[in-house]
Parts: sequence; C-alpha cells; structure tokens
Amino acid sequence: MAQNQPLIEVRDLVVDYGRKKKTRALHGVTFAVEPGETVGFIGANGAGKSTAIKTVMGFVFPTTGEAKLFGYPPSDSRSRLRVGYLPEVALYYPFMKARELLELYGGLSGMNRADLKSRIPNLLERVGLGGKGESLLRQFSKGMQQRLGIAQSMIADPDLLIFDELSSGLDPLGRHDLRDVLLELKSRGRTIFFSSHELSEVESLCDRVIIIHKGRIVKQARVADLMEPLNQYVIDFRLNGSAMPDAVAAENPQLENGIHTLNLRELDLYTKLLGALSDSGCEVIRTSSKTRSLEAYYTELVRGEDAA
Amino acid sequence: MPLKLWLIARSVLIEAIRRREVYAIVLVSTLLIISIMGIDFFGLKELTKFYRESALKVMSIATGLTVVVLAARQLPREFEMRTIYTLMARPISRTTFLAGKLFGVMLAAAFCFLLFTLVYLVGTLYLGGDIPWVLFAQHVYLQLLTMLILASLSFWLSMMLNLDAAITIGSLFFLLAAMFTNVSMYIYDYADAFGRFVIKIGTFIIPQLTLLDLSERTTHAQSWSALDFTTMAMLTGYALIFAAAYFALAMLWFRKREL
Amino acid sequence: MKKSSPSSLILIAALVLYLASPVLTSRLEPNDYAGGRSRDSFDRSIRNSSAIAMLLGEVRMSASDLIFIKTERYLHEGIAYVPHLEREDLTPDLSENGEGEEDDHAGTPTLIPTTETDFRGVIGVLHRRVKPWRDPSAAHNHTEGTELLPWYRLMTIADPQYVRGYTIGSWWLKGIDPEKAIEFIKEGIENNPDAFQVYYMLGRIYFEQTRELDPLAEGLQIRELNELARDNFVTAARLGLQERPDDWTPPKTPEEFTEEWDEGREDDLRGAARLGVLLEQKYGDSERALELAREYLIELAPDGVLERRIDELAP
Repeated sequence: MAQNQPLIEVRDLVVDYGRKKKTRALHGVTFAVEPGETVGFIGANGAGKSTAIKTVMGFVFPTTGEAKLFGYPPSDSRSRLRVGYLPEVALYYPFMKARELLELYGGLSGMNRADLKSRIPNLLERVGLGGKGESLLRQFSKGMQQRLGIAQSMIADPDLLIFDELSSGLDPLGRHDLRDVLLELKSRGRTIFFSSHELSEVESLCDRVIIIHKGRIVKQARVADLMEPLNQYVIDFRLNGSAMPDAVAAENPQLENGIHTLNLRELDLYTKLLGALSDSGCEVIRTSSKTRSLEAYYTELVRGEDAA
Repeated sequence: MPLKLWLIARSVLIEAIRRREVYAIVLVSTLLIISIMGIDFFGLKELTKFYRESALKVMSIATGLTVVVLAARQLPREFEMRTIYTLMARPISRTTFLAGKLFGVMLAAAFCFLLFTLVYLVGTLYLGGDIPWVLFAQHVYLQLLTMLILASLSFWLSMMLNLDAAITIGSLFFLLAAMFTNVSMYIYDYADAFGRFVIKIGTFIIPQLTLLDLSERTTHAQSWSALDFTTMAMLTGYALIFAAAYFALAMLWFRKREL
Repeated sequence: MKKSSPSSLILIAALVLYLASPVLTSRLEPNDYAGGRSRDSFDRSIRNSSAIAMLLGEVRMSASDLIFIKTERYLHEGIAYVPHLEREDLTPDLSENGEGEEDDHAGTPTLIPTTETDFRGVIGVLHRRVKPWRDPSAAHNHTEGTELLPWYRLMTIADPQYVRGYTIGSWWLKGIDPEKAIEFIKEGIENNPDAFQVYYMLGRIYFEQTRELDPLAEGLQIRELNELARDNFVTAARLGLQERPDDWTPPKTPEEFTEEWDEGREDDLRGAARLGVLLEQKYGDSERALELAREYLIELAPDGVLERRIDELAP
C-alpha cells in the first residue's frame, strides 16, 4: 500500500438488497478514511451505515462501485490483515473460554503463541475482564460479551479499527472505559472508523464525521469545521475610559447604550479577547456562550434533507 | 494457511467435545453394544460375528449421524449467532474457513471412532474373539472417507437449504445409501431404456457409500483377507472425488452468500 | 444449583428408561392378548384394526424376515446370494428316513452381479472387491451354523410366531447343545401350539440324539428318545394334515404357488408321517403303525415310503 493512501476507500458504492423486489440500501456512496483519523459515521436506523461497513468488510457485495481496505478489495483477505472489527451485534462461541477465543482470533490474524500469551491477560485487563480468561463465554453477560468484542478487535494491535455501533450493549461504565481505550488508541495514531447513534460520543472523539441519510452521504466534514459556525460567544463590556484593544476593535463590537457587544464564533478568539479586555482595564459586564450540539446540527440537516 | 485451518478446526473440535453430544452418543451407543454383548444366546460363548457386526453397525450409524448433524449446523449457526462476522473480519479466505470447518468435523468424527474403537476392542477382548486388525483399520479408514463425503455434503445442503432440511436429507442419504445401491442393481434388469439411463447416471453421480463399508468383510474376517493397496487407492480416489465435488459446491454457495 | 437444560433432562430421562427397560419389559407377556402374534389372516385382521398395532406388528414381522435373510448371509461367509431359502430351507434334507447331502447350490446368483452382467463398470469392480463375494458359478460351502444362532434367537424374540426361526435355529443348536436345542424348540411349541413344524423338529432332534448313543450300552435311553420322537412326529402329522389343503399338488409354475401350503411344508409333513409310522413300528404297536400309515396315505397318496410300510406291516 502506498504511503498516505486512504485506509478505507469507498467510491460510488451502490448496494441493492433482495432478488426480485430490489431495495437500494446505498445510492452511490463515496468517502475515505485517512491514516490516523478518527471518523464517526452517523445516520438514522436504516440509513445505510451497517451496509456500508459490511461492504467494506466484504460481507455484503456491491451492486456497483467499489470499496477498498488498505488498497485491496474486500474479497482479498490481505485487506483485513491490519483491521480490527466489532460488529453491531456479536455473540461468541459459548463453549469457548475467553482466552481461547482471543487465541483463535489472534491466531487468525497471524499472531504467534508467545505474543498471544503475553498480550491476552493485559488486553482482558484493559477491557475490564481481568481474571476472566478461563471463564466459559456462556457465563458472560451481554456487557461482558461486548467488552470481549472490543478485546478481540484489538487483539492483533491493528492499524485500523472499525466499530459498527460502537457502544451498543455497554452500560455507562463500559462506555466510559471504552472511551478511554479509544482515546488511548487515538493517541497512538491508530485509525478509527465507527458508526454510532451516540452523537455526543462522536462529537467528543472524532476528528471528522460522515453523515449518511437514506443511503446517501449528506455531509462529510471535520468536527471543528462543522461546529464552529454554529457556536456563539458573547462579551458585553464598557470602556470606562480605557482604550479599546486593537484586537477587540478588529472584531467590530456593536455599541448600544454605552455597552459594547462582541459576537464571536471561535472559542480561542473568545478567550484571547477576554484576556485583552481585562488587561486593558475595560469592564467586562457579561459573558455568555451559545454552543450547539452535533445532535442539533444533525437533526436540522436531516430534516432539511427530508424537506428537500 | 495450515495454522489458520487448524485454528478453525480446533474450534469445531472444542465445540464437539465441550457440548458433550459426542459423549452422549458414544455413551448410548456403548450401552447398546454392551446390551448386545449381554444378550444370552443359548449360553454360548465366542459368538463374535454377531457382536462384531452389531458393534460396527452401531459405530457407523452413530458416527455418521453425529457427523451429519455437526457438519450441517456449522455454517447456519455461525450466521445465527453472528460469530461469522468477527471470524470473517480476520485475514482469512472463505475457502480456508470452510476447509477448517471440514477438517474440524473430521477430527470430531475421528475422535468418535477412537472412542468406539476402544469400546469395540474391550468388548472383543471380553468375548474372547480375534481382532482382524488390518481389515478393521481399513474399515475405519474407509468409514472416515464416508464421513468426509457426508460432512462436505452436509455443508453444501446447509448452505443451499435450511439446517433442519440439511440434517434430514443428509441423514436419509447416509442411512439409505446402501439401499439405493441394492435397489438400482435389482431394478436395472426390469427398467426400460430411459429407466436404465437414469439408474446409470444415478449410480455414477450419487456416491455409493456401500463401497466404503467393510463391515461385512470385517464381520466374516475368517473367510476374507484385507483389501489390496490398489483397491484401497481406488476407493480413496473415489471418495475424494465426491468429497471434493460437494466441498466445491458448498464453497460456491458460501462464496456467493452475503453475511 | 446449576439449572439443567431441557435437552439434558430429556437425555437423562431417555437413559434412565433405557437402563430400566430390561426390568420394565420383564413384566410384559406378549402372548397375553388374543391374536397378538398370530400369522393367521383372521387374527391379523383383528390386530390390524389398530393403526399402531398394525405398524408395530408389521415392523416386528418384517424385522424377523430381515433377520432370517441375515442368517443366510452368515451361512455363506457374508456373501449375499439371491434368496433361495424356499428351495434350500437351510436344514439338510432327510431323504427317506435318513439325512441327505448338503446342496452347494452352485449357480445361485449373487446379489452383486458378475462382471459380465454388471452395468456399473468400475463401481461394480470395486463392489465385488469390497464386499464378501465369489463368482456364483463356483460351488460354495456353508460355514458352521454356530454364528447364525444369535440371529435365530433375535428373530424369535422379534416375532415368537416365526416358526421357521425356531425350527432352523434349534436344528443348528442341536449340533452344539441338544438340551438347549430342545429347550428352544419347546419354547417354539409353547408360542405356536398349532404349528406342526415345531413338533416335527422336536421329533427330529430326539431322533437325531439316538444316533449319538451306543445301542448296546444305552438301549433304554435310545428307546425313550425314539418314543418321544414318535409322539412328536405323530402330533406333527396330525396337525399338518389338518392344515394341509385337500388334494394339494405341487405347483408347476410360480403362479400356482400359494402361501397357504408349499413344498417345504409338504416335505415336512411327509417326513413327520413317515418317521411317525417307522418309530411306531419299531418301538410301539405294529397295528397302530399300520393304522397310522393307512390314515396318512389317504391324504398323502401317492407316497412310496408309506406304501412300503403298509406292505411290511399288513398281515
């Protein structure tokens, strides 16, 4: 694979379901995930998230278009050499022990026994299943199975992790632990691509989001780029005989009844100007911020799409 | 590739052993064999042919049905439990996956035979009869080839039909195979030209499992010698052709199936 | 406590029932219900009024028939010949009053065809190599009957009205353990009090036993056995004559064959009649022997053996 080539590459992907009465699940979807990115894939139920992910993994066959993993088509098993995958709903062999299952998955990913032996206890510890290696999986709760799912996806220390419905089946504590794990993976430069209904989770973890609606990509953007135009930071101040700092003046504050009002979009700028006003001796009367969530943005976007 | 094959096979074997169904089948069959040994035939001792035939029949039927059930449920259960997703998300081809499953089922069948062989040998020692070692080994080997055909057929059936249908058809195929061979021999002389054509085609495209059954020869081992190498090689080739054909069909269905 | 799954419980219940089956079945008396085991068509029709009874009844009888075929395989070292039991009848033929030679029935076709007649090519070749098979044109010998015995035991357990199982089984058993053979055929008489063949076989077993004894040292015992044999031959002849259709003649074509009476039964009946007369003549009352011979000849004429006896006995 060439350097800086997208790890996931989807181009004009069309997927139809059903033999006679065909239902189109994806209408020419195109997106890519670059190395080191954490990308959230969001959309309503039935929007086509899972279909897209399954097509990328080679579980579903495209009607037209193409999907590639690490530059290989999904039919080529090399495409999955450095991928960790967690499906939306997964059960694991109830007759196996947790250790055996991880040995199986690690072995299938090409790990040797010695590496597995040292890695499995640590990994189980990390997902909150420490000491459960010798337990049969039929004794595991749904939450424990989901934690084990996360462990199996990470067993071979993959470069790319794909999670379909990231935190489904996890309790709040599990979600917290998972978030820590993902942040750690992210800090180590791993590429993460996940679909989720939890938009706050996406907002807090992702560098970028891809929004899919009724089988079509309706938005792809960096989270920061998406959120900044929606935010508003307000500073009301009086000069009280002081000179207005240049940086403040550059933002053209409005004057009404002797009170200047600054309307800002960027948090960094807001912080900087607040400091400048304070240093110059101006009296800051009131500060307020109006931030909008990704959820609000998403709802607005989808409703707009539906109306259109 | 061999390691991955082994890992998949090992999971099948672990299932077969941990689910205890194999033990249950072996236990019930063993009780059956013991009760055969226990029948009082006029207080006579060393009636080994009867024991030998009955024990071999029980071994064959019990293992055959175990293999059909075990093989037929492998893929449908992977889909049903969604374990297939996490497995196929690994760098493993569908061919390797299916071959691993087949290998695993064969290991389970071999395990079954091993347990039965122990029961059989203990029974023979108890009754005081001779063990026709070479013939018996040939019989077990050919039975394993039968199991290979049955397992690959069951894979194909389970891909093409549903689990219940696969088990039913696979079991009937196994149990009625010898009858098919005999009936086709009987009715051929009475059939018209078209009927003869159909019987001939059927004879060649349906595996004649009775060819891989040396139980009668083993039962009457005093009168019959072990098979020669050429015949064994021909039988091996014959079985492998059918096993490969069914495996290829199973593979064809599996490859085009979306998960 | 760990909860058992329903399938485990079913398995355990099945195992318990299986293990308890010898005790449970020991309480069963299969002959307690009228017509339950009979091969008589009237009794059958009563029995078959229940679907379950019909199913089980026919399965049981089919099982005993299948087991009988199995005995033939055992007799021929596992080789499957086209059934020829009606002709061979497995037991040695008693020509006149003595035993005949075993027929090697060379030429009896095998179920697996020969190379010349097999349409299956290489499959046929393998079939002949794998299964017990010899060219049917060659003569073949029978194995010792010992290994057949379990099957006779099983077929009469499966169907106690399977008269042939008792008669042939006891004949084979006679060579190994005459006491057991007598016990077995008496069980057959108990289950089939109207079947003449079982009395005939018991008579033959007694009769055969005398051949093992020294006439000088064991004369008394020989006499006792012959008297027992005679009584059974006479009973067999009486029952056989009741069963035999009037004016029966041997079928000349397969179409003339009837289930009611056949050559095998005819031979057995004639054997019982001849031996009954002979033993009555030797160990009983000559007048009674003559009376019996005349009585039998009315039904069985022409019969050279009986006619000769009458000539010998007539004053």
